Amino acid sequence: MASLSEEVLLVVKKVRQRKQDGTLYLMAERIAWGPEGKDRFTVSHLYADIRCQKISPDGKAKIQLQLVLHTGESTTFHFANESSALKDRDAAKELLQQLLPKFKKKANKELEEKNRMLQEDPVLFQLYKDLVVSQVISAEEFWANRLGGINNTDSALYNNKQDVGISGAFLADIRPQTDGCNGLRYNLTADIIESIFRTYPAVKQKYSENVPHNLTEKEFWTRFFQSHYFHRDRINTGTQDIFSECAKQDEKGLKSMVVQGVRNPLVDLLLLEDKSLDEGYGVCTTMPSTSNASRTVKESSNYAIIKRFNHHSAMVKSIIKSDLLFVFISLLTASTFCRETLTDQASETSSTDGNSRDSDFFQPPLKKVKLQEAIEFEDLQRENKPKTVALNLKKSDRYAHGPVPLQSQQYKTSQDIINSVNYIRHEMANYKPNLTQVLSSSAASSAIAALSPGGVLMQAGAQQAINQMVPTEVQGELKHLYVAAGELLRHFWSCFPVNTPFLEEKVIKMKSNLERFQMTKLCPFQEKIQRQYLSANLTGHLEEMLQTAYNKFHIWQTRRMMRKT
Amino acid sequence: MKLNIEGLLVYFPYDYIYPEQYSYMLELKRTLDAKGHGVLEMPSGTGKTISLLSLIVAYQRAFPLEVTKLIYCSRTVPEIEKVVEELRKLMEFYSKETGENHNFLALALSSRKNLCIHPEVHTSLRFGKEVDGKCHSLTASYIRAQRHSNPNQPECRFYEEFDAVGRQVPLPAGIYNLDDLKDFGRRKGWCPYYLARYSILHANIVVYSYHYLLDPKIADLVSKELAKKSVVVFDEAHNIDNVCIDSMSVNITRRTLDRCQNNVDTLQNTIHNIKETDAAKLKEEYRRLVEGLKEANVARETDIYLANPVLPDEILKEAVPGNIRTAEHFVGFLKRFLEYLKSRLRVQHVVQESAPQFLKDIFDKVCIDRKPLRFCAERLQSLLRTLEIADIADFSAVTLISNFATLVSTYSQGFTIIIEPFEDRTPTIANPVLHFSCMDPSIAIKPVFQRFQSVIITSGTLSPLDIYPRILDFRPVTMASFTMTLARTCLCPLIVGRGNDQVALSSKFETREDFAVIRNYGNLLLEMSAIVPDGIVAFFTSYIYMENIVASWYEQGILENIQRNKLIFIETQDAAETSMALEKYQEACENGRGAILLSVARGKVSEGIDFVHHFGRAVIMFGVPYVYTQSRILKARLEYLRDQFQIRENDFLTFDAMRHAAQCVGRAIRGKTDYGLMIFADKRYARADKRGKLPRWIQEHINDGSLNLTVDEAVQLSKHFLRQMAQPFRQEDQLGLSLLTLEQLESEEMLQKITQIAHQT
Repeated sequence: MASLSEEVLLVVKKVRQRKQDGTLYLMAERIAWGPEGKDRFTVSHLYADIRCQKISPDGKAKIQLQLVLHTGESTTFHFANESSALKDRDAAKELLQQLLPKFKKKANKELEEKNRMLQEDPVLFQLYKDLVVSQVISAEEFWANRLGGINNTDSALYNNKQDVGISGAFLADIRPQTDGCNGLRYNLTADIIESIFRTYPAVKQKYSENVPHNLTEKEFWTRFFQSHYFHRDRINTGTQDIFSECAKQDEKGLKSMVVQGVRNPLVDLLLLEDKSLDEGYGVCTTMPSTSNASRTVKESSNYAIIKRFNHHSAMVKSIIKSDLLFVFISLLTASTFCRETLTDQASETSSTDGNSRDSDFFQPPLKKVKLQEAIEFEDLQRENKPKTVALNLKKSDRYAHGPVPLQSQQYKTSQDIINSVNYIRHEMANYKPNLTQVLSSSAASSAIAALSPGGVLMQAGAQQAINQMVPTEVQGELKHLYVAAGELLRHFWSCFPVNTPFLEEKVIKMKSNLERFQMTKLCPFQEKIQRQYLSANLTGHLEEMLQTAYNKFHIWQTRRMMRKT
Repeated sequence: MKLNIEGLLVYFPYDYIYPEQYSYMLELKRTLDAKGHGVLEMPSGTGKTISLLSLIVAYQRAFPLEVTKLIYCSRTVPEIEKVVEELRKLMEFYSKETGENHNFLALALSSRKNLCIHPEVHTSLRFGKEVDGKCHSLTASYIRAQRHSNPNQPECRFYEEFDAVGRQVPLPAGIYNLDDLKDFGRRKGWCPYYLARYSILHANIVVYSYHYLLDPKIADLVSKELAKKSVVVFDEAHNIDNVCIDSMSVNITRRTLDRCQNNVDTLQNTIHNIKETDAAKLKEEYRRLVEGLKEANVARETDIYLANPVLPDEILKEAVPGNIRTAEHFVGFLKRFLEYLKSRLRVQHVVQESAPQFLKDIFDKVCIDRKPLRFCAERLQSLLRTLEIADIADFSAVTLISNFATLVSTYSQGFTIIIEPFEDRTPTIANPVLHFSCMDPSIAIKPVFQRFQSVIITSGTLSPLDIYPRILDFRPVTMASFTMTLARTCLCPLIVGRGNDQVALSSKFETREDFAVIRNYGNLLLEMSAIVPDGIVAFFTSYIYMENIVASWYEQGILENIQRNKLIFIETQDAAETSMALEKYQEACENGRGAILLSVARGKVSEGIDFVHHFGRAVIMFGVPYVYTQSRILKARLEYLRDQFQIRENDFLTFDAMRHAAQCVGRAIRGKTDYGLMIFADKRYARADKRGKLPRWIQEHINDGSLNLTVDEAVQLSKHFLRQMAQPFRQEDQLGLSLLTLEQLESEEMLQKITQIAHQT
C-alpha cells in the first residue's frame, strides 16, 4: 500500500505496537507503522488527524510515544531498540513536532468545520446556495456570524454550557518547585494556560505570534516565567524581552478602561468634588508632589505592583461578565421576534455599558436609580409591597446580568393566582344558565351558518390552507426565500445597537444586501407567482419584514446624522 | 407621619421613625428657637438629612418671617444630589398630605462643570477650570459688548437667552436637582448655571457645596446677597476646619513665579498696545476703579453683604493708593513684588516668619508698603477687566500672587509664612516653596457665624464635640451627640492589638518597617478574607505606607493567598484609575466573587464613598491615621492651637487621627439593616485617650473583651458575629425598640427613653 512516490522522512526500526515488533515510518503527510516482515502498514495516520503527541517521562523503563487523534483515539508506540531507543524516540518526536503544526493550520480546520456543517444541515446548505452562490452576501460574511454563533451562542444556549470563571489566584497556583539543582519547575496545566490567555490577551497574542515559528512552547513559557512581565518590576523590561510589549499593551488596556470611565456616577471620584481649589491654594499637608520624576525606583515599582493588581483583578472579573453579556445580547437579537422595544433595551444596556462618553443621554435614569437607592430607608417605610415572589429561575445568569430594572413592577404572588383560580372555580360551580334570555334556536342556527366556511360572514376570510392553493414547487421556493430572508435579517438586526465603527460598516452593508436580495430574489419570485395568477400577498409578510428593517435603518441613519452635526 | 415637636407640626415622610431622629429634631428645634448655633452628632445611616429637612421645612412654614431660607452645605456632588432627592420626597409627602401644591422653591447649585449645557463646552471639556474659562470667554461682559460691533464673535446662546428673559419671571416653585435644572435650561434655552445662581436669592432652600460659603473668593460672587435670616447647615462637617484653612492658604512655587512673570509681561505689552490705540480706555478705568470701590462701599452699608477676607472692611473707606492707581505703575509694582518673592525663594535654609515680619522685610528690601499690597487683588481684577482679558484661567498665577499680597497684608494674626528650599525627603533637589498658611479656621468661617442667625454643624463623627466650638471660635447653644438605638448590635468594633505570635501590631513610626508587623497585618487580612462575605475595605494610614505594605505582602506571597479568596483592588493617587477600581470592586461584590479594596484614610475614597451592605461587610483600619507630623505647616498650626486655644498638640493630633479613623470605619454602616465589622488593627486604639475620642455610637459597643485581641481571637469573634447577622432581620424585630410608630412615639415611657438618647455636653 505504501506508494513509493511518498517521501519518507524517517524510518525507525524496532518499534513495537500492540506487542508487535515493526517499523515506524514518518512520511511527508502521514505517519505509518507496519509489522515486521510484512509489506503493508497496519497503522497509518495523516498528520492532520493528529491532535498531539505525548511521550513517556524520562525515568520510565519503557520508552514510548503516544499519538492522540482528533477523534480521541490514541496509538502508542514503544521504542524497543535497547541501544538507541531514547534517541530514536526523540528523533521521531522532534520531527513530529516540526511537522504537526504545519498541518494544524487553523484555516484547514475551519474549512472542514464549514464543510461538515453544510453537509449536516440541508437548510443551511440551501441558505448558502441562496445567499452566497447567488452572491447576495459574501461567503465571509455568511460564515462570520455562523461560526461564531455556532461556537458561542448555541453551545451556551442549548448545551447549557457556561463559561467558567477564573480563579483570582491562578498565577499563585503555578507554584514553582525546585528540581534539586538550582532550577525551578513550573507546572502548567491547560486550564492555567487558558486562564493566562484570557486574563492577559497580550500574552496570547505573543504566543500565537511566536509559537511555534520562533520558539517552542516550552521555550515560550520558560521565557514567560523568566520575564519581568511575570515578575513585579516590570518597569525594567529590556527591549529584547518579548513580553515588554505585553506590559505596554496591558498598560494601554488599563488606560482604556480608565478612559471609559465608570457608569455609576456615585463612585466617580472625578465628579465627587464640586469646586476644587485652584492650583496654588490650600495646604498641602499630604506628602508633597510625588510626581513621576521624583519617584524613586522602589516607589515606582511599588506603584507598578498596585496597578498590576488592579488590572489583574479587573480582567479576572470582567471575563465572566463580558461573555454573559454577549450571550444575553445575542439571545435578544437571535430570537426571531426582533421587537423594537427589545432591541432598544439592548442598545441601552450596551451603550451604558460600553461608551460612557456620549452616555449623557442614558445616564440620568441610572443615576436616578442609584440616588434613590442611596436615600432609601427600607425599614422606615411600611411594608406595603412586600408580597414578594420567589423567582423560579431556569437561567439564573440571565437574571443576574440582565438590564438594570428602572422601576419595580407589580408581581402577582402565587397566592393571588390560587385565590383567583378558586374564585373562578367557585363562580363556575354556581353558574346557572339563564335560559329565558338566550337566542332562539333559529337565530342561533343562522348565526352558525353565517360563520361556517362559505357563510355570509366568512367570505372575506375564505382562506384555504396554503398547501392546497399553491403548487409544492412554489411552496418550496417560498420556504427558501423565507429562510434566506430570515438569515439576512438576522445579520442585519444583530448589528444593533450600532456602537462600533465595524458594526456601522456592517449595518450599511447588510442594508444593501437586503436590497439586493429583494431585487434578485424576491422580485423575480413575485413576478413568477403573478404570472401563475397566484395571490400576490404570498410575499406580503416578507416585504413587511424587509420594510421594518429599512425603517429601522433610516431611523438609525438620521439619528447618526443628527449626532454628527 | 405627622409629628408634634414641642408644638411644631412636622411632616415626616415615613411611616415609622427612629427614636434618635425624634430626639435630633427636638434639639434642632431648640437651636432654631434660640436663634443660635448648634453642633449635633448623629450616626450615619440614621436618617440625619431627612430629619433636618423635615424640621426646618416645617419651621419655615410655621414661622415664615423667622426663617426665610435654608442653606444646606454638603461636601460632594453626590451628597448634594442625595439631599435634593430627600427633599423631593418630603415635598411630595407634603402635597399628598395637605392636598395643596406647596409654593416652595428648592434647588441645588454646583459649578459650571456640572451644570453647563452648552454643547461644545460640556462635552469636550472635563475639568472644572477649563469649563469656567470657556464660559468666561463666551459670556464676559466686554465680550458681549464687542459682539454688538462684531456679530461673528461666538456666543453662548443659553446665557444670552437667560440674560434677555430669564430674570423677569422667577423660577417656578418646585424641587430642582442638578439634572432638573439642566432639563429646565434645555427646555427654555436658558443657562442653568446662571439661572441657579440667580434663583438662589429667592429660593426657600439652597443646597450647595461648602466652598460657596467658606471660600471668600467664591462666596463673594455667589453667596453675597443671601438673606440674614437663613439657617445654614454644614453636613458631614467633621472636616470643616480643613476646608476653612484650605480656602485661605496659598502656596507659591518657582513655577508659579515663572508663570506670573509671563503674565506680568503680557499685561505690560497689552497696556502698551492699548496706550497707543486707545489711551482713553485706561483713563476711563482709572475713574471707574475709584467709582467701583465707592459703589461697593454703598452696597455694604445696607448691611446684608458678606464680609470678605480678601476685601477687608476698611479698604473701602479709603481711596486706592496713588502709587498703584495707574496701570503702568501697578504693573511696575507687581514686578517689584515678584522680584522680591523670587529673591525670597532663593533661600538655602528653611525660613518661618509671621505676616508682620514679612511685611517689614518687604518694606526694608524693596520699599513696598502695606497699604498698596492690600489693594493688590482688587486692583488686579479691575485691570484685567479693563484690558478685556478673556481667559482668566491663563492669569491664575498673577491672581494667586495678588491674592497672597492682599491676604498677607490684611491679617497679622492666624497666618504663618514658611519657605522651604527643598522637600524633606529629597534634600538634594531644590524645589523652593513658599507656604502662606492659615492656621486659624475661625477666620474663614467667622463671617458665616456673624451673618446668619443659626448655623448647624452636623456629621456622623464629630467627637469630641467640644473641640469644634473651640477651633472654630463660636458659641453654640446646643451641643449634642446621639446614639444609634439598635434592635441588634449590627456593628462589631474589634481592636486587634497582637498577631498570633504575640507581636504587638502598630503602625507607629518605629515599627513601621518591621516585617513581623507587616506579616501579621497581612495575616489578619488573609484570615478575614476567608470568613467575611462579599466586600472588605481596608484603610491604611498613607499612600506610601500602603505601597510599602502591598509590596512586602507581594514578596511574602500573602497577596497570592488572599487572591484565592477575593479579588484585590487598590486605590491609587489617580482619581480616574481609582474610580475604575472602585466600580470593578462593587461589581465583584455584586456578582458574588467578593473583593477587597485597599484604600487610604484621608483619601478620596475614605471621604466620599459609602460601602453599604455587601459592599462593605468589614472595614479594617491598619494603624492609626495620624497626619504627617513632620510637616512644618502642621507644627506651626499645632503651636498656634496651643497658644490661642489652649489645645495641646497631642490632643489635637489624636482628635484628628480618630476622626479620620471613625470616618473610615463608619463607611461600612449605612443604616440599621446594614451590618459590618469594624476592625481597628493597632494596639494603640485600646488606650483610653484614643478610644475616648471615637464617636459615642461606636464607643458604646467596644467592651473590654474586644480590646486587645490576637488575630485568631478576632477571627473567632467575627465568625460568630457574621453568622448572627446573616439571619433574617425583619421590621417587627425593630419595632418598639429602634423603630417607632406614631403611637409608640407618643407613649410616656418612650419619651422618657428618648431624652436619654441625646448626650449633652
